Amino acid sequence: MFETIILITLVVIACFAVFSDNLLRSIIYLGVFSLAMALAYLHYNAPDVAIAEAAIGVGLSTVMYLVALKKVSVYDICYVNENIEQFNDDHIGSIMDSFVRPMELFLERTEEVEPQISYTNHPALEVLADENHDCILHRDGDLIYIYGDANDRIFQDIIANLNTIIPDMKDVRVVFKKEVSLNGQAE
Amino acid sequence: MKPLNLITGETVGILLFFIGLYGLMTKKTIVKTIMSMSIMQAGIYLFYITINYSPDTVPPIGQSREAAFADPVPSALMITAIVIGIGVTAIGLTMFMHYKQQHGITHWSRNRNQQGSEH
Amino acid sequence: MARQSNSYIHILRIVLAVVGAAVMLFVYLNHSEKLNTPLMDFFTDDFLAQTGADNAVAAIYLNYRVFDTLFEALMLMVSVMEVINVSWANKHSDRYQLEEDDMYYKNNSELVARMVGIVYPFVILLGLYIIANGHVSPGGGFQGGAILATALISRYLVYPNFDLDLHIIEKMEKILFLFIVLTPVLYVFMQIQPDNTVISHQVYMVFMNTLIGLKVFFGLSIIFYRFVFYEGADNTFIDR
Repeated sequence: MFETIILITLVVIACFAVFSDNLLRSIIYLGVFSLAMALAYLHYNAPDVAIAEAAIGVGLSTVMYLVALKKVSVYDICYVNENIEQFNDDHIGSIMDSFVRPMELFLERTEEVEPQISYTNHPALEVLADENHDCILHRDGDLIYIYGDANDRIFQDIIANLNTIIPDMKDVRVVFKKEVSLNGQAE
Repeated sequence: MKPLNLITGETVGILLFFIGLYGLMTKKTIVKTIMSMSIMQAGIYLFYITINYSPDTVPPIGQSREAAFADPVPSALMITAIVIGIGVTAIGLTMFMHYKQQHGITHWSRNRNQQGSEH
Repeated sequence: MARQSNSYIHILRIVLAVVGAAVMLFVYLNHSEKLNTPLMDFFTDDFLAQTGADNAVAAIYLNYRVFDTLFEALMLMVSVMEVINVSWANKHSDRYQLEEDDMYYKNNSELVARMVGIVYPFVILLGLYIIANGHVSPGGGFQGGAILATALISRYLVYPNFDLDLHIIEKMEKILFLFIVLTPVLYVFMQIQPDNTVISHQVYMVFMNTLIGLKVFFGLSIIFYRFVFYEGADNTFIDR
């Protein structure tokens, strides 16, 4: 019984690792896969191989993949919502399906860059002035502002394909970064 | 009960090998390709380890001989193969980083696609 | 047009993988036969008296099939040489050593640093234990060396230093490889043994395990530090 469970787990995690669209996730899946593999070796009466797999597969190769991942170009998205006191899983989950996942899929499949998303409740203008994000999503009530650099090719592609990425979102404003600094001063 | 009997280490090893092969053929990220190779290797290890496995054996350590020993030959071979596998992974990742630094390539077909979209 | 042919090729690849798996499984399930295991019978017959190891796996890779170990160590050394030499950062590695120092201190989480600081000596102890007891319990040179390298990585998390000279470590690894080749050639192949007893064999086993463990430790730490240099190289060269 244990054997069957561990083998099915192996196949499922291997599928996750291969078919996942996010590189970071699939690296972590590969680490979990190595751990399950070590368990399977232990079950099959090969403790020497289990130790080797646990030390090398889980420890060393995961670290090596993580270091190599830094080389893949990362597209940095920041989600700003000033009205939330503190971000918790419910808030993140509520926006996850509506546009974070589609955005990740688009970046991963079409643009072939690695998306990285951070969340904050700092004022949007402060974030714009101080931090260096490739793209900033600012939610204000029902409106969503998307800030980005007009010369950025990936940002241009996102704007051009916004209808296909986020089909059911109505109130979206696109703001290029140069205009923002002017507007901020005017207000 | 019959389908459960089919799930043995060898069949899962073969399946893992072909899952890795699928990733190797279809994924466009170079890192993903190297990871697929790791999964293929893991399938081969599992196949070898279970090739002469029977449930009523003990690990081949000690002299007490309460039960029959498990086969130590595949274990010894696979320890060697695991260390070689980490060498292969290291070489692949180094070449990937080298390519990235020299030519900016992180995907197998990236340059062709980008030129197409820029026009 | 091109996109269409691409999708055909994509479907072809999926079909190839699925059909390959199906054919392999079918062939395997229909034509599996039980073979005799003469090697296993020979290796597990009397390995304590013949090789001095309580662990049959260690007996195989240090005595019966010692060629495997030699070529495996050679493979690891070749991959380390590739990692060191096939790299553009090789020419500039001296420069990073100066610039890295205070960059990483800022990013360190104190929680991680303290926890790793507590665990770190135990990891080293575990690695040394596994190396020294490789011939009587599960473990051996490769595993212990890998665990020692993991300890080095955790040390790097606490104290990110770059004062290791990789060239000296590489030279030491090559010298160790020479000893790894020399010891079994003298002891196993040419039978230059002080005494044909279990104690003498066990001394040989512990010595070989230590050599292999140190060599694997050096090799994997070179690979890891090389990777870290690449990472640091990215930060300095992206401004260029």
